[in-house]
Amino acid sequence: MMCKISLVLALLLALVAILAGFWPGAVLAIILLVLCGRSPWAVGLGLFFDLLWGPPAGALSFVILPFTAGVVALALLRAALMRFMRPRIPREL
Amino acid sequence: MKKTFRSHQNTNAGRLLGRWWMWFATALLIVMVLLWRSGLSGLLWRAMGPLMAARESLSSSQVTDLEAELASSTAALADRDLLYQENLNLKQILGRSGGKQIILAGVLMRPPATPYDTLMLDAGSEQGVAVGDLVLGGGESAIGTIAQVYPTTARAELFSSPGQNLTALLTSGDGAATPIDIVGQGSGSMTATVPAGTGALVGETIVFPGVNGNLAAKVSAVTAKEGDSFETIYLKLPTNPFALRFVEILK
Repeated sequence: MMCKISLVLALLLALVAILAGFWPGAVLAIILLVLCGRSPWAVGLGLFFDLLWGPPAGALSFVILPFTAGVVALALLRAALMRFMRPRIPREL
Repeated sequence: MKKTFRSHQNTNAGRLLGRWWMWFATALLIVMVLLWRSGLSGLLWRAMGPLMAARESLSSSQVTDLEAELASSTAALADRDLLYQENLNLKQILGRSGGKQIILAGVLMRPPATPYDTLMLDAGSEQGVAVGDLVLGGGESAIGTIAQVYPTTARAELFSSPGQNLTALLTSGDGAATPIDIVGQGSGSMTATVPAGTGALVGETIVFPGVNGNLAAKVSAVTAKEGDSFETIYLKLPTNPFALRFVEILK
């Protein structure tokens, strides 16, 4: 049920992050989308925020698209975990 | 039975192909954004700029106006003593003019609306802003530099951005200037390590080398462990950058 409304919830969080001026909201929106398997949407949102806020300063400045890189890393981690866990779920369930 | 199996196989193959196409399109999108990042950011900010300006004017209440005024006044007060000293010094160096050109810019977004201790300003290349220009928070107080410029907006990175490094001078009351390396800690704070004999005191100022020598920070705390040959000094930007509504960009 949560995952069904995840897209709406994530877009609302992203909107709040921009309009209410609270950037961690954007991170929450992206994490929510990736965890619910909506990675392409998360990539789109990550790219949007990367274009909006630019790269970080200092030692991490080489990560040009930090939000998108985070989405890709999280999506890969989720895929790996799903592959690891799937055979352990009994077929009868 | 065979037909059903084949139709299932076709559906699975189609789904797999669709998934591969989706990931290919996503990868292509990322590559396109990487290639045309600057142009796309400029376009996005051209559209978002007026929206952010409207949001800023809607959210500004009497309290925020007073906070902004207080931040400007604090900055002006902070650099007054420094300016007096600098004025005396400069009188000895006649013939050297500071030759400054200043552009006034409004702050569209500031932390916590933006990550990495950055400010979005409503002046861009069309107003003459360039990458590397110094951002002043009022008076002679420098708070950061311009990191990216778009046609109508610009992004300023504060000196306190995490991981940001800069070299400046620690000036003491007797006029001595010790070069120090400052590291940004985020939220307007920075640190530096100096030899224990330096004798840094709370309230001393950090300035940039050069004739203009803008004020960059003030010492807020000094910690030294007994027997250690170095002490850590904690610095704060001369003004609260998160309450500023306007900044000056020094060309």
